[in-house]
Amino acid sequence: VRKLIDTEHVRAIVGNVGTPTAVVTVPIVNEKKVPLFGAFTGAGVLRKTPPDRYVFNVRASYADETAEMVRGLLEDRHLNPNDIGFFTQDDAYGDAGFAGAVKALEAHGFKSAENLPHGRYARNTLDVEDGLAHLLDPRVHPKAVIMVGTYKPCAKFVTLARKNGLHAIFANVSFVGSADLLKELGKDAEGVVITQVVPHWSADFPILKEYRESRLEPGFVSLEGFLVGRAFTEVLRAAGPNPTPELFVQAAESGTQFDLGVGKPQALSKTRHGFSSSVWPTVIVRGEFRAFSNWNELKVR
Amino acid sequence: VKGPRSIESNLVSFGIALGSVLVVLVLALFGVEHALGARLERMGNATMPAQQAIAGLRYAVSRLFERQVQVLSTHNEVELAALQDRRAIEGALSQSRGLLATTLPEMVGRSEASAASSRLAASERDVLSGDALLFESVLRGHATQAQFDTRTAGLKTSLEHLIQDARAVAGIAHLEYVLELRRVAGGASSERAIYGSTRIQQEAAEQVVICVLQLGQLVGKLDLARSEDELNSIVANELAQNLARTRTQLRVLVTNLEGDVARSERAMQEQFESVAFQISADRDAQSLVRLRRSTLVEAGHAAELRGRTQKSVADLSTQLDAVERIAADEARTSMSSAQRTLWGARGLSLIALVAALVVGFHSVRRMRASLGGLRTQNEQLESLSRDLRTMNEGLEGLVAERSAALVARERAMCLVLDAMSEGLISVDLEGKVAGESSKVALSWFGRTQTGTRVWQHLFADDERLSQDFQVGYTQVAEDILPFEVSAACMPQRFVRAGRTYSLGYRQVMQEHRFHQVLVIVNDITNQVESEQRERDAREQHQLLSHLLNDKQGLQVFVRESERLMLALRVEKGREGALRLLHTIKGNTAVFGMESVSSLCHTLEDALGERAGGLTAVESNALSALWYTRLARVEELLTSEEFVELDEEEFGEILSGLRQRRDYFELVELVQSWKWVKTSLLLRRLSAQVRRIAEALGKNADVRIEHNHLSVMPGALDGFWGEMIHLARNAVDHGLESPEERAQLGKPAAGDIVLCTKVLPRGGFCIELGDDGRGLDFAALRAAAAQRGLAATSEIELIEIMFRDGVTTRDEATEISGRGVGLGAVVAACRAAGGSVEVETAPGKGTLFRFVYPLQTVQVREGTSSRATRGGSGGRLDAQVAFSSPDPRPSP
Repeated sequence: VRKLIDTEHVRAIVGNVGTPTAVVTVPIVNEKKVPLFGAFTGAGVLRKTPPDRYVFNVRASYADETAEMVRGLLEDRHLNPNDIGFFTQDDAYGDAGFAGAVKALEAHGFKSAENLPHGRYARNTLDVEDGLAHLLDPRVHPKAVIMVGTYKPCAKFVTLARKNGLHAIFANVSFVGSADLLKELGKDAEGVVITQVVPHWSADFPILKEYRESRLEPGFVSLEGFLVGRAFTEVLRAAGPNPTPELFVQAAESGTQFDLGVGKPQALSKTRHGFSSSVWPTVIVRGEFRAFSNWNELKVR
Repeated sequence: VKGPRSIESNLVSFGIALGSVLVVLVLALFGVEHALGARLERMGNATMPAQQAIAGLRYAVSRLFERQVQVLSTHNEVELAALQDRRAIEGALSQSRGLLATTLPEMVGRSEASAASSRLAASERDVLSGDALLFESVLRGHATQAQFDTRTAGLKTSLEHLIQDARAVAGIAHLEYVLELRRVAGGASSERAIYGSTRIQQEAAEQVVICVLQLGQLVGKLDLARSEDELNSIVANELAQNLARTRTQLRVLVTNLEGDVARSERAMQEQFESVAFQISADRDAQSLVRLRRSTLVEAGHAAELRGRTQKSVADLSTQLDAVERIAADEARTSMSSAQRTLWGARGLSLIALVAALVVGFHSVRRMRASLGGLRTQNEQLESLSRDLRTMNEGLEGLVAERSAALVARERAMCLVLDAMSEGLISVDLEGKVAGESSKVALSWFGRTQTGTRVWQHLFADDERLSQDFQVGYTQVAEDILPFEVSAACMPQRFVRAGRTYSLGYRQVMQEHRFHQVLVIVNDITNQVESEQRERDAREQHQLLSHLLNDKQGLQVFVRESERLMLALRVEKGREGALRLLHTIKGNTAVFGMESVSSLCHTLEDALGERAGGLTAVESNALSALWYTRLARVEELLTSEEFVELDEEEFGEILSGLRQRRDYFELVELVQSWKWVKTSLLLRRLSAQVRRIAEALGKNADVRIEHNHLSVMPGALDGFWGEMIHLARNAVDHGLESPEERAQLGKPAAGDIVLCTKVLPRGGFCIELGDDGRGLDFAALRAAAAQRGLAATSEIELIEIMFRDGVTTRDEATEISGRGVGLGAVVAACRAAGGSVEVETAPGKGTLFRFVYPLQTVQVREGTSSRATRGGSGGRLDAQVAFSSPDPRPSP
């Protein structure tokens, strides 16, 4: 990032991927006063209160996603909080998702979320057995597992869990990589839930029409990128003909309504740097992603 | 006189004292300057460079030390490489030591200096070699550390993999065990869950994970071990235990596993052994423990080297301290020596100043005393001058009747006043200059040294005068003759450095005894000059009056004198020269040329004392003086364009023309204008006679009988010039003094007759007669006898008288008395072919008659000629008549 800013003289960074990278990038952009716009992560480090001046988010956070899972599981499906288990990557990403869920559970009046069954796996490994052991412990019976990880260990986990008799709702956050997960799971993909921060490309939003016309291969990742691009150009347009990082930030915070073509137009401010906190849950049915709204409709295999 | 003298001497002594002080001060200053300069030079040449060198050495050593600290604090080879070059420090060291080596011998002995230098060099070598060793040691340490770090990094990766594998195995074991528990929970037998291998596996896997984690920590701990002991302790205890436990747990895992898992576990076991080997294998030189040990050993070695280097540096510092002490001692010695010099100079100056003050004080006191004396003298002088004024006032009353006396007195007063400017020199009886000389005398002749004789003092450049003075002074000092008499014999004037001084002498009595002579010197240069000018003017006047009265006569005189001087120039004989000189003397005296006459007299004196004629210098001096005197009138004199006629001649030619006289007669008459009238000659001579008489204080009545004769121009030139001698003799020797004449009953005025006539017997004669004493044959005889001439008859005596050099007078005067004059006249007459006759009678007078043949003088009688053709002689009642033989008988 420093090289980009110092030697390539980049005036804004758009679509940065990953939470650990974001953790490093944020202090740099704050120091260099270069906008970090629409990072491909839902980590909390990008969503401080009050927000960092140069950090702007388009998508909802992991906390938003896990909060949506908790809401759906508790309100729609009427599960007991004790029926919820966790499988997270043993790092900031996993912790962010877990923290969002704990917060949501607490919001639903459940104070001892820390004691819920929780398996972890080491980043960049497939050593999911120990984590699975925590959820297969005969003393617990999770009916839903909120998963914050990457597609390979998550796929192995789902496969191994089903093989060893754990029948629950496996709910992944969007970062898992929906297409890869689907591919990796194969026949075990049926019924796995993935929350999305963008709507399904087949939905009826003005932007999606443009997205479909762009002839891009449909997918949640590219759609998120598309949306980020839209949001960036909107703000850039508001920044005037000779935009600078400062003008860009001023334009973003000016209260101008930005219409991304998804939902109603949004206005940002000094205390609000995120365009969207909307989460769209999807479920894999017969090898395809299907949007759903009521978590009670889900079937457990 | 005492006052100024003592003031002067006091001033002089004061001046001498001041001068001495100055000299002492200057000398002291020189001394101080020299001493300080030497010290400073030494300081500049040796001490300061030495201190500079020491400072340079210290700085270089401190830089070396600083470099060592930097070397020791480096963390890797790259940092160390930057410090490798220490040539600048070595250069500074050797340069400073070289400087020190050159300056040290200046301060201490050569041997000591070389010893100190070599000690210093040895210390420096020690320090440098120690430093080099230290550097190498640190380099080795870094190399080992680098290897250690590399290996540690590799090991860490291995350990991470190991941990990950262990965790994976532990996770699998955990899952197996949980599944076993689930089976128990599902109703299966719990025996397997309790005694089965899954639990052991799970526990062993957990242990392996823990052990491997510990192993990672131990690797870190190895890196942190700061001593070999610590390292050994870690290796022997913790590391050994950990390895053993890990191996045990791994063995447990492996023995309870099967299939794929067991294979992966065995791979893990091998990986672990490899890791353990890399960490602690004694036989592997690259093992972590051995590397660490090498590093530690190297660090210890470096520390030891550092200690040794520090000791070397301390040694060097000690050597430097010693050298610095030498330089400091040297500087202190220089400073104290300079200070001593300064104090010495101050002391010397102080003493000189005190001495000057004492002398000054003393001189001032003495001067004040002298001034007091002067003041008293002044008061006395004032009272004296008051008295004098009073006297003058009294005298003024007598002015009317005694004006002449008053004039004389005023002149005397003037002289008195003049005497104020006299030079006064006191001379003791031995002729030494005694006591003080007057200021004027000092300014003229300078200061005398003690014991200087006054003649040496006054006549230093005139030996003859000095001798004369000495002789005269001896006579004065003997005090046999009356002082006035002997003083009169002393030199009266002298010339020195172009100034003319007169000398006077006063006897100084002390307690009625002749004590000193006061020599009074007057600068009469101006007086002499004015006299000279006066004389010049007088001479000029005389010449001019002659020119106006008788130009022809003057011309004749000039012509004659110049002829004589020419003759004098070539005359080699003494007698001839004397005769010529005498004639010139007489002539010039008659024409009032006193200076020429006087010079002639001086030259006669000079000739009287030696053989031969005048020297070229003398005759030149005479000619020069002659021409100088004549210069003014010469122009007027030499103009011969005019022929002068008197009234009578004019009347004669006029009447001749009217009477239409014979043409040839008239021609002859006009030609005669240029002939010389004897009346003129005689008148001229008579005037000279009168002047001579006046000069000699005699009364002379001069009669002229010229008989209107004229002679051919130039005919009597040679003779007539000499006539003056005869005239002079007549007045001087012939005529008595007025008193004598009165006694003899003669008229007061002597009778001098001058006559020219044509003798009846033929021939032209010139007579000169007087009515005086007549010739003194007794005296003539005595004079002749004195010259060894035997003469008996009076005729013979007369002939002797005609010879040169015979005189009856004791003393020659400017007028006559050399016995030359008469001889000259006779010689001239005879040379012209004439003869001489003398008539003389005692108490009645003498007549000289010079007879020329008419052919030689060509006498003419004037028109109104009443020529006396009287008989020969008879004028006197002569007792003796002399007639010289006529060499050429007249026709």
